[in-house]
Amino acid sequence: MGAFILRKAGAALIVVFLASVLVFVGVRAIPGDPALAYAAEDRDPKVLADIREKYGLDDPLPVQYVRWVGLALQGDLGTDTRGLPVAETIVTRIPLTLELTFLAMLIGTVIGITAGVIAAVRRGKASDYAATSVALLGLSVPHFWLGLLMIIVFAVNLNWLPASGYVPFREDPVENLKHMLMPAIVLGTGLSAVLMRQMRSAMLDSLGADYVRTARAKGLSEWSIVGRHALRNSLITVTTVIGLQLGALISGAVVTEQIFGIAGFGRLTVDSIAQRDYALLQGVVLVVAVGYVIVNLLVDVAYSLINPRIRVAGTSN
Amino acid sequence: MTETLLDVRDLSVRFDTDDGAVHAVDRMSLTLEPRQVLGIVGESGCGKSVTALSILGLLPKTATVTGSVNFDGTELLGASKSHLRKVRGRQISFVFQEPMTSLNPVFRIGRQVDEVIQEHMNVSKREARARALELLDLVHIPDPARRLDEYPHQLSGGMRQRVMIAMALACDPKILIADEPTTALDVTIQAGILDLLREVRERLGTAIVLITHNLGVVADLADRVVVMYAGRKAEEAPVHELFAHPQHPYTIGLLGAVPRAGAARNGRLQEIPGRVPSLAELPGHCAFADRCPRADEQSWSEVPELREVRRDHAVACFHPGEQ
Repeated sequence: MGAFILRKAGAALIVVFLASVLVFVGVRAIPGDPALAYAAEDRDPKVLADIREKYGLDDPLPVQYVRWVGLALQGDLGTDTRGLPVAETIVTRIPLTLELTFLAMLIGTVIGITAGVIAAVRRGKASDYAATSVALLGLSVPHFWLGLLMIIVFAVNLNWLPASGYVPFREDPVENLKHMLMPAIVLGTGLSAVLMRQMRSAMLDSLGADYVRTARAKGLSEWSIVGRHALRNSLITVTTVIGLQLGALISGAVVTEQIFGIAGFGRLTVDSIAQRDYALLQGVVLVVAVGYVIVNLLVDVAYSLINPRIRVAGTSN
Repeated sequence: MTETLLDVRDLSVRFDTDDGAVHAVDRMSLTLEPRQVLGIVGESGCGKSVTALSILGLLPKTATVTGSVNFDGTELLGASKSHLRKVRGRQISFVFQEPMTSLNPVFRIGRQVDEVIQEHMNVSKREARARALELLDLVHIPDPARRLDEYPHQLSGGMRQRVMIAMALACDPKILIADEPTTALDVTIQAGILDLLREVRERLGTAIVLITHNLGVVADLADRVVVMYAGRKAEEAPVHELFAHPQHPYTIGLLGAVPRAGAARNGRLQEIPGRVPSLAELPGHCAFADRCPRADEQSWSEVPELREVRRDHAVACFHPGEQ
């Protein structure tokens, strides 16, 4: 198991390296001169040259890259156009987005897996059709529309939940959750719909498998047949899907944060692009890439815990 | 008159599919005595597995089962789920054809064996584990303590089938139903599994229903044989009687299809011409008529009923006989 994680971590490092190169080159491929963005209204060639000199923008790209990575490894992602350290800005924004995506994932997986299992067990009955139709609806509804609808219903009309804003969890946990509930539901809806459909088909496969027939012939209860024998096997597929859906969740967070006025990571990304803030954009994208790799590493580990065949294949050779 | 352990009467099974009803089993009757090995023989799709699965209510919901299954004095057809659960794995247990897929790939062997013990016996985890170890030893799995902590994919097919048998024997059942237990295995491994089943009957006194398409397996192990064709019983007799004096042309055809050393010199293996009929409709004539050299007008107009043509030897044919 240790060797397995080590091998996966090694592969993850390579991915992070490639991602950092892509981020670096990608940001520089955007049309426009970074010096101009820093200089704002000032177009004096002398000022621009000073800026290029100060930020090392006139060095060859590989040199710039190595300098950037070297500083990034020490936790320094440079300063943005407002002169604030990028790393600090990111660190203050990250908890909001982490909380939002975590809650969305929690809501998405709990609802998606439960509904999928119920639909599979009650295949062809009313509850199956209901769950499948609601999932289709959940897949088709755009985030922004669902978000606005929820704001109108629950914030404006019923006045149950706040329409926007954020309260740190440490200050007031109840208020924090109240603010986060709607955004998390909006963000989690798509995930739960995808997972429901995946879970339903995975469960149908498992329930028709020979080992389920064996479990039944052993006289086990329906609960243990469905909840243990079939579920555990179905989770193998669904875990993979959760990992793959993470990208959608992160990009969904950008839109969701915008709707609910949460100054999280998504907002930061949008702002940094709009303001051509190169240092900030670079930092933000790099952090997202690293986060994505870490979560996928965790998914791989979880996957191998659920599926013993992977583990052995990885260690026996 | 010896006591009867399992008495299946007029069992019929119909599947409702999108293409209409399929009559998989038609008025099938079987009896099984304690310690007896009953062989059920027939081609794929003749209804032998369906018969076995219907005994414990293990068929999918699309199946309609009628008739009667009496086990040890209680009726199992239509019995409550909780009653069936107490019989499954405890009184009557199953060994399936596919050892590769019949064990759950994500659980350790030990857990899968423990599970059935804990379900039916009032024992602690530790006692269940000790019993599991004992069982793996009983089915001759080398190094059983280590095997308990392994996953199914780490075992060979033969070993997995031994695990299936160990699981089936865990609660000391009265009947073991083995559905093609050796079909998926190499020939050398097959012999080992058959030896094990014989040993089980001798040492534990478990009655065995052995379902197979292989007459050689039946000759080796069974006391009594039922030959099935197209969902119905074609012939039934004690094993020696059946092999010495086969009456139904289908049985004779099956025996002709068993390879024998030396016999191959004077010709090919005999095959039965034609195919197993579709079971979508119960025919109004002998189901074997279109493949049968003896078929005549009567075969094409009436359904032959079972009748005793020799002592303890029943056959459903208008023209029984050895040649």
